[in-house]
Amino acid sequence: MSVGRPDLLELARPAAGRRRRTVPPVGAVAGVVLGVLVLAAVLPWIFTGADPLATATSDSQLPPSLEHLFGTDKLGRDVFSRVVHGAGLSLSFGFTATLAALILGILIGVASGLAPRPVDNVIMRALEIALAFPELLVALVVIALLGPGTTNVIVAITVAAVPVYARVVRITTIQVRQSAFIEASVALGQHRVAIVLKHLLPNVIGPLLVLATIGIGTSIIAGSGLSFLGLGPVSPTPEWGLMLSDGRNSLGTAWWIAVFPGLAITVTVISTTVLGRYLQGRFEGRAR
Amino acid sequence: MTEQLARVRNLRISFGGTTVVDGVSFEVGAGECLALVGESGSGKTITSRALLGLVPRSATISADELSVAGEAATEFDESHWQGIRGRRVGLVAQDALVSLDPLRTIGQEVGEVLRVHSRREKKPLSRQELAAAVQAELAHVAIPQPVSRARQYAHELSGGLRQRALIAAATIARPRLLIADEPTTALDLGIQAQVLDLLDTLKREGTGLILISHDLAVVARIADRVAVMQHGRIVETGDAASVLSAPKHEYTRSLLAATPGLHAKGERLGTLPPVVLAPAAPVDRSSTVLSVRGVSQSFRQPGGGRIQAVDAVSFDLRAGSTIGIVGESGSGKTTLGRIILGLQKPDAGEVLLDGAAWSALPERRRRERRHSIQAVYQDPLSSFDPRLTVGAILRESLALTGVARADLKARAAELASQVGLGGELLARRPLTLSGGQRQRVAIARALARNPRVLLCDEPVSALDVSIQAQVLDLFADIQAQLGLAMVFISHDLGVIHHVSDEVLVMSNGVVVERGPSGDVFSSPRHPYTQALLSALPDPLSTLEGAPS
Repeated sequence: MSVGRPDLLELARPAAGRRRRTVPPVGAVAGVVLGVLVLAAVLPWIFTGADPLATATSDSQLPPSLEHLFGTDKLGRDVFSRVVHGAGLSLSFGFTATLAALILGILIGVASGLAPRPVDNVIMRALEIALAFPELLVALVVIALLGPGTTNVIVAITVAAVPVYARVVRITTIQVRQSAFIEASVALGQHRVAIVLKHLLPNVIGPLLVLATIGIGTSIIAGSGLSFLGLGPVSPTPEWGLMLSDGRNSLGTAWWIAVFPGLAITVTVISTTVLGRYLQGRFEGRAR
Repeated sequence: MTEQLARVRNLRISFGGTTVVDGVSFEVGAGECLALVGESGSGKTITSRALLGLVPRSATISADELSVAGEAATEFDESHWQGIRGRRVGLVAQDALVSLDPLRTIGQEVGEVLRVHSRREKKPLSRQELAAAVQAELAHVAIPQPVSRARQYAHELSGGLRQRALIAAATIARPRLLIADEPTTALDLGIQAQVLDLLDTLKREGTGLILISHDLAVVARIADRVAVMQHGRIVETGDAASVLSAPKHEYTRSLLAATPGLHAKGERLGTLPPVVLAPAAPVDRSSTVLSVRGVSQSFRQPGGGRIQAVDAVSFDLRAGSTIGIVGESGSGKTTLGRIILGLQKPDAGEVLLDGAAWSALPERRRRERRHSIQAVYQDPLSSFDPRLTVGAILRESLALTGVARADLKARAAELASQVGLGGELLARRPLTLSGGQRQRVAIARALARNPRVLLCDEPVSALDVSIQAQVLDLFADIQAQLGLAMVFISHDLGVIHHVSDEVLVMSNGVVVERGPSGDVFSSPRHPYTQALLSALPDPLSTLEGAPS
């Protein structure tokens, strides 16, 4: 005599097993797309032989064809080649700025989290003031102070992103610092510096890396946005934001000039974000 | 013949290929208490859930007979079970803080059961009738000021009152059968006695009671019959007095044997052979290694004012001996432990280690001597860096002690085997180990520093009784062979009696009684100690002629 429903058990089991074994397709696709983008950034010549800077007035504004996959712009430059070569700058906005913001954020956050209350208070109020303004506005102020240019765009995005990381690091630091295993290390006789380096930092950085993956997408958008406004690299450098800006007046006649760089930005940002969320899920799943 | 409230014959429950309940049969009548006793994983909880239709869907369950309140429960659908739960069978869960909704008042929580069932039975109660019933039930479970308590939230109540509220929620719809799943495990001894008295009263009023517990002492206090479970089977069943006084099955005997309070001091509790450690230099048993002199500590309270956590506590600890510090939660024993470890600077008084200043030192200078005093905590898992493997944890401690880098691996393996851990565990993380194994890792980490004093703060309270026996034996072996001095903090009188040479009884930060272990337990002078000992459930009250 059966009380429960054994059939449910039979149905549920193999499915659960299958789910565990296969890689979720979304995460995998995002990973592959990002891999291709990184490859394009490092070795653009394996994707296209066309010179991104070579102009040909006779080929002005050609629609997409087999010869010019994404068509050509007003000056007859190959849009596909420019998009491929633009990957380098856009990704370096994302990665460099995020890495720099991460390092600064960890330094400020850990220092604030370990500092005596008054110092911590001062740092936190300063960060809160920075956080009160939209990131793009902070970046614009930095550009206004430093002047336009590729390096300054990266500096601007970094400065704008630091407060968020610093705050997360600070609160994680405070949590970890109060946890029993830190106190156990003290009781064991471990040196304070060693405790911070061996036990505190690794436990703070782990969750932050996931946040940073998502942050890369935000930084890419910020970089493209500043370029779009003409505050970053200048023509004829192939950069997605700049290309978007160049093509926006001819959307009616030659849509491909603006649409393909725009798509490139969108795909890149979505891929990093999806991958970040996927890693987050994995990380939290394991932590639990 | 009493009325049968629940009858189970040949109950089997399995998850996938794993059988967790294997042919269990029992029955409970009105006014009778059946205790299901066993250690974690023995299947006692899931067995009781079968009587509520709360076995998870992923389980396969079968029984020759499963009847609840005279009906064959094997035919019940979900809606039928809803009519049973709370109305015919009540459940008192273990952790009252988790079991009560933090956003609802006690009155709402207790009243909900009655509201749901009165609607179900098409006799909805008015708001006033409901409130009156809740107040009557709160009064019935001896909650003082039921009117104002009903308006409070779970976190505003003490542990004992919360557990009573949970019992009120289980009894308000007048179920004839009550399942109490570890109802007193998280409670202090005095409160535990009160809750057991309440359950006993309900039983006398005619409620059938299924008491689930790992604690034989609790069981002995109110159970009429006992069923001892191991690996999903009932290995022994009979009336409580005869099972506990003359156990027939080997497992029951080993459970009783592992209970510290039932033993002469110094006897081994578990069945494992003693561990062999490196021979220590001979210890001068007359030398004082730790002196606590008039230590006081107060904390600011959230509502203003200060609370005196530790108040002028003094004691001396000689090498190779153990001082037991016993008290209920909030008595200041853990704060005292932190001060002794030099993790907290006392407001007044000082701690001397090996006759030299300790608590007064700045941390920079204390660090050089930290190896002399090591600690084992109640929750070993949280005391390990979650990223580290067992091997890495031990190597860190060994490296601090100055073991050469090349020897770390070999020494870690040696250390692990000395505390009874297999070498294959070194590559695992503590999260994947059992409670007993984790505590062994914590002990090994402490021993790696070659301490002279070991401070143990509730080191066995999270462990099953047979594992507790093994760990207590390990402490005894370590002390005998290495001549360590030990400060042993616990709320468990049986454990304290077993391990201590000298006992301090703490209450509200003050040492109310102190003396050699035998004297304190056999002739307590302070009323607080007398009350604690009289709250001890029966089997333990045989401790060297303690008052019963």
